[in-house]
Amino acid sequence: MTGRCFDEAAGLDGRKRRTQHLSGGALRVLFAIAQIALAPWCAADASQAVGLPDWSGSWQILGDAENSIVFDGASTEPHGCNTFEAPCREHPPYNAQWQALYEAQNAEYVADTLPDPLIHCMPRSIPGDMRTPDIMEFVVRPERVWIFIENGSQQRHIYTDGRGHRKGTDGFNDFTGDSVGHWEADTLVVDTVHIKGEVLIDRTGAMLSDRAHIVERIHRRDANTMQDDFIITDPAALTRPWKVTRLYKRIEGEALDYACGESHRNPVGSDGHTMVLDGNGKPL
Amino acid sequence: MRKKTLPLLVSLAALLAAGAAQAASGIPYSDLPDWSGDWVVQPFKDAAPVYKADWLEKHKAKPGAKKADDPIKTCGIFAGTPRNLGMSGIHEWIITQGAVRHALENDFNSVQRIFTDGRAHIDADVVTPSYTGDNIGHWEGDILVIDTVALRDDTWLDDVGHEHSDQLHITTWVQKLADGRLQAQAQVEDPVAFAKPWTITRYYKRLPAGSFVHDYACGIITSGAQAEKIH
Repeated sequence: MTGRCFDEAAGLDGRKRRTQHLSGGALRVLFAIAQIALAPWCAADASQAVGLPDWSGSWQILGDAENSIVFDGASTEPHGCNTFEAPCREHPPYNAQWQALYEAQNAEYVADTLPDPLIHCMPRSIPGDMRTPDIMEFVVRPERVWIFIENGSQQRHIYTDGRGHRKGTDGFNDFTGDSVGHWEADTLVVDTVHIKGEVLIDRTGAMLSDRAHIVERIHRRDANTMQDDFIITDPAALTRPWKVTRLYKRIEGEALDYACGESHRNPVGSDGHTMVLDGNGKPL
Repeated sequence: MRKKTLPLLVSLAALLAAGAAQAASGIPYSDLPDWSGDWVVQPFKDAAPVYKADWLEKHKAKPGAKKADDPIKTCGIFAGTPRNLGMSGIHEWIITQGAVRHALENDFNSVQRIFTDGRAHIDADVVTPSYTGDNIGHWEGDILVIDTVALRDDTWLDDVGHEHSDQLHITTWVQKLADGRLQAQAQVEDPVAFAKPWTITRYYKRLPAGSFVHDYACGIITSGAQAEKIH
């Protein structure tokens, strides 16, 4: 802890007479404050620097394309499991009512009549937006952390300026929710409420209610892996907290424009919205 | 001894406050300009671009074009650079080491990524023209100088429908003024379409602390069978 940079900067090197007059407790507090405060200037002690972590670069969700359509595809083993083979995947712990809804939605997915919200350039909400293919960016500044999601495109704003959740007329539900965060060492703890309910969070038909409360712990697991540990509680839909882990690997390249309204192969209506067609080519 | 300890603690506390937030590689955020917060553009009026006569004739650039022809009327199409500078809603200018991101609340959540890590433009032979373009930048003091190329030719320069070729080259200077506003001044060159460079200036005012960025969900369909499917 007491490298040369620290001692010189703190002016405590060789001054044993002075420190002897401080109590042990005060001395420990003094050293702790000095260590934190002086770390930015002490290159030799960079490993002990307290600051914001380096999450720069481009990241992509881990998990093959087939499984990535399921929210927890990144943590499903073995691969290739069907939604309803419960031991094979982390099935949302739905109550009976929401399980029935899920099964009905899944039947539509199997019949190819359940459109991905992205067809209409709609957000997938949280946690759906955290399981998209293409590039994710985790952009860190002291007052906010942004998650930029190329596919969509979508933006998440996590406010780390000490504010609480939105209140009063600002406390409405929307697709990306109301996220506030704080740092615990190099882990960002994100608390999200006010998420619009009954929005498809994956293509199998999974949804959450508007009472969902999502806590995430995000950290960089190693040089090439970001990890997001979710604990999802939903008193309306789930019987217990639903824990899911998503991993993102570092990739080369930069996020590009994603203009979801471009090159639609389906016809676009007069109101500017893409039409969804059934198997006979008729608008749904 | 307590008298001598107190100044030491005070000075260390001051260092703590100053150094607490630090960018990844060791450069304190306090060494980067502070453009944090939510910015909204103030009303502006541009002079019209001055076109070359033959380009104007051939492409029928349409001042006062109908809104129905506006490419951004389709949900999911970006306005692109430089029209993004004047969009309504919140602008964020996110400064980190190595990049500045100009992120919009409007414009389908577009993010104009400006790389300040010394990289060159993507090779013109391989770059794909885009809405936001290929942006590289550098700092001249506290002024961000952006160089933008590789823009698509099917965007409008502004709300009234001024068009351009695929040879746009934009230099933009962004800085925080003494009165606290942000200023972005763009010099737009188009050697194919313009008789001379077109210069536009935008000013941004910061919203009060506690402001937040809204979702952008232009894809909401409010009626009909498709609305039921999409929820």
